[in-house]
Amino acid sequence: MLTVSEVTVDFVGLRAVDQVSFSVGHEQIVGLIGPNGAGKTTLFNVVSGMIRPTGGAVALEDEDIGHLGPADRSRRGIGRTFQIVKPFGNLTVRDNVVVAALTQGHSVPQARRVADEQLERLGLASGADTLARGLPLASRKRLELARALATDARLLLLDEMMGGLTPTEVNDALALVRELNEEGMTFLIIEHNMKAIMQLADRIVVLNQGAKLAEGSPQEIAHHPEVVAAYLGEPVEDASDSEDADGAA
Amino acid sequence: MADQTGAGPAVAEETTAAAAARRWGPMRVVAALAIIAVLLVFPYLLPSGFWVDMAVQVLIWGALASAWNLSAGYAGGLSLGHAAFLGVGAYTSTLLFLELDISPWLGMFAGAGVAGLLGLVLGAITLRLRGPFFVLATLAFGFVVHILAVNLRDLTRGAAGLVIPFDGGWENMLFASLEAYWYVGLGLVAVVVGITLWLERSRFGYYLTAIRENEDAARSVGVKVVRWKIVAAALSAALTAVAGTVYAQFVQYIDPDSTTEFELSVQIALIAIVGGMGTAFGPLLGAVVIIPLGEVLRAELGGGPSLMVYGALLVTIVLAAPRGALPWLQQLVRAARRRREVSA
Repeated sequence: MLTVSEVTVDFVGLRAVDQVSFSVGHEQIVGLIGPNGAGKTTLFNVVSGMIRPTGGAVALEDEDIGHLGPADRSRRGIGRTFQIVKPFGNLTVRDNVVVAALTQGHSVPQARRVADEQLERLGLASGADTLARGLPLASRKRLELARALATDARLLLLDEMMGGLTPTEVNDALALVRELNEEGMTFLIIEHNMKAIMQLADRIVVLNQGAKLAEGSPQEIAHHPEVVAAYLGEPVEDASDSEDADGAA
Repeated sequence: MADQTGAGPAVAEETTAAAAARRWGPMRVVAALAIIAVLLVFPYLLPSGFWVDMAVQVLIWGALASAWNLSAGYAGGLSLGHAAFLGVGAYTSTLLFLELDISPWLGMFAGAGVAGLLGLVLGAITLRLRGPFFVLATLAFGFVVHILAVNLRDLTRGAAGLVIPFDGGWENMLFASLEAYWYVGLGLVAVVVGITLWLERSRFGYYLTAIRENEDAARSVGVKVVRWKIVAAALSAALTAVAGTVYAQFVQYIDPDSTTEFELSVQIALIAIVGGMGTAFGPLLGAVVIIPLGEVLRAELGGGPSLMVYGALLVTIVLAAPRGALPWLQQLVRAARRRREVSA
């Protein structure tokens, strides 16, 4: 579905992403992990169109989308959430999602209906008329997801959705991602919560200092010597262990 | 978007508010009709021409601030160069009237067209700039237009200005009675505020507020940020120019200082900020507060001292109601209603 080919991003005097290639197949969940500053969010920004890469290409369904801005990519089905949540704070929770639905060509009343459906599904319906800035963090993260879903996204980029959540909230988020995935949603997920991503991902891509260090199944990654040395610190024994290795979060 | 200004009322309150709205429905219609009736006879209720003159100024400044608000308040494009569009409107219709004998009613649209086009071009150049850089660009644009108005003497007659010879009648938008200008001003305000109210309920308005709240998030859900900001800038510029034409016909003399100076841009922004940016009626309320305040202080205290008191009062207002007078009043009303419900 998504193909990232030899993407390089140079900031002034700094190579943030260095010749990274990977792909995400239909209905897959691919994890993107690595230490802070490894270039994960920068790569997200390249995929969602927020920044233009210095080199390389991004293709969606085998079509080059390098020339498209973020709004057009959203219309092609790429949705995203932000590591630091960006709700439309002074709009109500409902209106946050209405904006997203409107870009799909719905009329305002139709968009309200779409918004209410998404809010219902994500458990945000009861606070639909409150201002988004008043929501607790977990709800703001859900709101970003509701917004992305209202754009009819087919590929969701989640940037540290578990960060700052309580264990219960993490479990809810995991269940939600699985449910959406079963319905056909494709995911690319940046995550520091190792336990969560190991459970969730079909495949994991590891970045370190801008370059791809490894790629493979959660099991392969957990025991990959270089990944262990660069990031994990110690092998993640069992992905379903109760004690997790989210110390990097 | 009904409750952008609220401080996040709980759901229970929403339902009681809805019940209250139903109960007050017929009352609202009566109240609205009463307000319209008062507005129609208002100039005749005022004690003297001084007050009618001030009332017309309130309307013109209210319209200017409302037009500014479309781009700055809803889309977040804080401009400190809007006097340029006021000047473009005033000069375009006046020159067409003086040179080609074209009615200001038509010249108004020409001015709006020129200003809208300028807003479009300026927007395309500057709206990619963020925060203070955008503000500085609008500031520079305002100065450029002022300098052009002073120096393009063949066109504008420079600092000497343009006198509109009095030839009264509706077709020339020139009237002997001050009261007539009240009705022109009322129509102007109705158009600008009406467009604002429409915008609040439209796709366009949703996009603009999303852009104001967070550009990156707006982009990520498919909003074409630059395009909509440019449309807002052009619309705001065009409506500002329309108000500029009305202003020119009202004072019947325009020069660069009275139409394009920096202080005017500040005044426009100030009125909207004091009244409440991003609200449909806030800028109008701002004009109702600011214009009489300035006039009365000047009449009572004279130049220097009046400015000091004026400045001190502005600071007080902004400190007391940082989000503007209208949101502040709405909050007071909500609090009062809550107290009444608790005690009832």
